[in-house]
Amino acid sequence: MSFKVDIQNLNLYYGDFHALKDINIKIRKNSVTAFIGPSGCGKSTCLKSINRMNDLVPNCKIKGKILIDNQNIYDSRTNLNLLRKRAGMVFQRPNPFPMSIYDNIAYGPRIHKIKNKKILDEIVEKSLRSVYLWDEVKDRLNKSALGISGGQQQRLCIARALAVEPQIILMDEPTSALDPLSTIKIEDLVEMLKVNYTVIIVTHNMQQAARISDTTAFFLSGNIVEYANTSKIFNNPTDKRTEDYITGRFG
Amino acid sequence: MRNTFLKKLDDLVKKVSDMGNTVDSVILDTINVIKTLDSNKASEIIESDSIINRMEHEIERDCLNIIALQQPIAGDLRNVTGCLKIITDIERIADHCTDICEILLSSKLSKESACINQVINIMENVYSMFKSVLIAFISKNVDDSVSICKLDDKIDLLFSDILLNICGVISKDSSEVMPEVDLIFIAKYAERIADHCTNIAEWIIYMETNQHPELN
Repeated sequence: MSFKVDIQNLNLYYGDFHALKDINIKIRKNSVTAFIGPSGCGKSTCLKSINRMNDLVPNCKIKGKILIDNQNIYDSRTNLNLLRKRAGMVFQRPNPFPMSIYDNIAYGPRIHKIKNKKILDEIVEKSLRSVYLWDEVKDRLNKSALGISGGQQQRLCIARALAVEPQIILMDEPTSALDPLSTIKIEDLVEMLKVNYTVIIVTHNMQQAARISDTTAFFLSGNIVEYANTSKIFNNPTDKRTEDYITGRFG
Repeated sequence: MRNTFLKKLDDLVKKVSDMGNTVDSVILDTINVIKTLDSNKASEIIESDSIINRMEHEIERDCLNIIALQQPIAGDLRNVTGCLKIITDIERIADHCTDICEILLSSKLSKESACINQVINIMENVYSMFKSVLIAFISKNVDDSVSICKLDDKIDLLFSDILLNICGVISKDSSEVMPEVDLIFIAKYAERIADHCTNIAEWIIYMETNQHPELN
């Protein structure tokens, strides 16, 4: 079996606070993995560790390994720009840059030294088509990205992540600020994305995790309580704490 | 904590249990009708079937509402699904009691009919099986459910004996064939009730273990 991400004995501290405790998890290539758990359980922290976003947090200390394609991303020789190109991130609230739709998509490729207009045009069209946004915005590519709807902005952010040809897409509650129809579009998109990418999604929406993921990890107090096929987790979880959480008996 | 949801689940189990208790009385009354051949009581049982049907429909509606509005998962979903399936079996058991009473109303059976005691015996065994499965449902007891499924073999043997004996009676004296044939039908309904009890036991096992074994 081919594992894209292999987290080994990961421990993470914010100052004295032990936020992730001995996390071990292997994530298959071209799959969708959902991280679920109550607020403060460590799921977003774990997600952000996969492209070293936590490096930006003061007093954050990390022990253990995260292997992407068998290479430890916490190795001192890791190029962070390239790492974040490989593992793109989509956040809870759509965060388009205050610039045109076109420039939002072209931003990443330009940073990675692509200047040719024809190539950039192709990247912009391909990325927007990948998130089913091209037909909706093709006539206003030079208009501000802030002028489109929230759902469109979130798909634009996904397209922006895709523009630099990542291998892994990390999504931190990508639909929590969206209306139901926009949510369905993102969920359909995730299903399509896994053909070419490995998707890891943090969600508070249990039904969403059940609908779109292949595997689910349940986090509690910095530990992974259970990690299994989503069907198993939502039909017959092994650990009572998992069942209590997903059935609403928690807390 | 989803208190409203948990209360709805508790209410659902209580309603299924109430339906079960109502059918428990129906089986007991049916056994008495076989013993006494009381046609008035037989008619009452037939009329009371509509009450069981209404209970089934109300529980069905509750289950579908819980699924649509509360989106149960894992053990909760199994419980709702199990209840939905179990009430179908309970309702069919009541139907078979009605079938037995309809036979008794038109039959020329007498208390002296050959093999009638054997038929009462199979019905009493089936009644005990139903009572046990109802307790297993309320107590969510998997071991008892497995044991109940095994009782079905005994009921099958009792039915075979009745069939054999009645064939013997008919072959010796063909003047009173119809009452004996009626007894075969009643015994067959008893055997079917046992099958439904086994189905209920299998659903209890599913609700508790996520496994749905074929134990019948």
